[in-house]
Amino acid sequence: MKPNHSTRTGRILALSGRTVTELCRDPLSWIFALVFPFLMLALFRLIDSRIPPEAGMTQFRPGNIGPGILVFAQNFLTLFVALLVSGDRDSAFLTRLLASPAVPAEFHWGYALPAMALGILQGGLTMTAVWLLSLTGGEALSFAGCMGAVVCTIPSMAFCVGLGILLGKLLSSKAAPGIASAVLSLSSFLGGCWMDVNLLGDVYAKICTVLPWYPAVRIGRWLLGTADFVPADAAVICLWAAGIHIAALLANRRR
Amino acid sequence: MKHENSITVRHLTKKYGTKTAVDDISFDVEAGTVFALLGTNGAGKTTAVKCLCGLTEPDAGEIGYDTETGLRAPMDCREHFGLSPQENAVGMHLTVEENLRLMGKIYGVPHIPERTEQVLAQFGLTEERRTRGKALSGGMGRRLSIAMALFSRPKVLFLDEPTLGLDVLARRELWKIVESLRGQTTVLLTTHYMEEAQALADRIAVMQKGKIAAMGTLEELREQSGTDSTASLEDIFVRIMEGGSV
Repeated sequence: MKPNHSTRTGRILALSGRTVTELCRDPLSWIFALVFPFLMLALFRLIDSRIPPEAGMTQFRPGNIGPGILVFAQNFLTLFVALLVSGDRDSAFLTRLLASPAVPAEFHWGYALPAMALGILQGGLTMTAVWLLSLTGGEALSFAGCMGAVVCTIPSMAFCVGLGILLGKLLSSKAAPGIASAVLSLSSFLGGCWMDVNLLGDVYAKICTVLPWYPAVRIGRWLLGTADFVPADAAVICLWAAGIHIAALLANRRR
Repeated sequence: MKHENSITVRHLTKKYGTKTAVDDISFDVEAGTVFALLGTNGAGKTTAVKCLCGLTEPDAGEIGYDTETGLRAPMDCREHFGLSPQENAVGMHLTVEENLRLMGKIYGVPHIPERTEQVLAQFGLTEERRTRGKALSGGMGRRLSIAMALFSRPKVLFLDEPTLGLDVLARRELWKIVESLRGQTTVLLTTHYMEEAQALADRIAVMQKGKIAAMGTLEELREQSGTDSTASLEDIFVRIMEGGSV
């Protein structure tokens, strides 16, 4: 009989496959990750259509609102991943995995990589819808810019996924969704997803620029030509993404 | 020289804050035998298992597994372990078959499809193969959880309260499976069912408040507790609990 032999890559792929199956079979994933952003886009389109052109209000035009919805929707990944990880802990499934040859970093990436793939799919579909809306509204955004926004906000999506893993590791399956939902709400305010953060004063705006959400929204808007480029934005998001994954990797390694 | 896959535990201690869950326990488990940790709820059995399979870092003491390459710590030989935790540890959105295959992939088991069929049949799960984890009854979920632990043909198997929530027939079926492992797999079993320990274990350690109050074969426990030769394990256990350490 051949002896057992597993490789690090094989284990990460096995755990990723399991996460994909769990996410695909959870109706919440489809509703919130793929349907909800479209509903929001439709709602903001409706609001925009009711604003008379002479008002000069462009906040709800696809070029502004698109990156906001893109970054806001990424926070649903925090919710899914937190639910999945905390649920595994509650069901002792994670205990089983921790006693297997897989090391903590392997099931970290086993959760993170499929969630990020779902995030890219979500972002691609959302920004394709934004591009199509822009064509009908006379704004005509560049498709390359829309897809560029998806690619350039991958670090903020990675942050959301890492935060989900961290919350799932630290909180119970009852507490994790509540906290993740609070983060979701915070992200919309602190990310300036559908409002100008400067309206709430300089201090508020400064706080927003050092958190991961607003810099990501601003990069998206820059790629669509509706905001200026701020060089520090990319660094802020990347630092948050790296920091949260390191924290998640270190959390509860061995109890 | 001990046999391969035997377990040596010396002065194992684990504390959670001010509470000492496992208090300076030492024992040996011979390769291919069934060793039971018996005790009431909160006696420290699960904590001891967590230390033994590398899930928890002990505060003091040593745990060694005698392997082909010498004595190794738990963290270094997890590919040889199978664990069935106290709660059902299955992927809720995965089918029975997918849960088993996942174990095969993580442990790098060769010929996974054939092994899956074998384990499904062994645990009477063939008809439930496409049922998702969350839709399984308590008993079926328990069977799957144990089947997952055995999928990789582990050299050391940890069964933490394996028959908790199982009906009598399912319990007896599991006993047969554990019996069939004797000689090939070292089994460490925790239970608070006296008849289970009596039926399965070659040696039994009775745990009380984190300590080993008595340890040995059934005969040795009878001697240690001063009960007669017909005394059941339950009689012995009650005597030990009432009298403290023997």
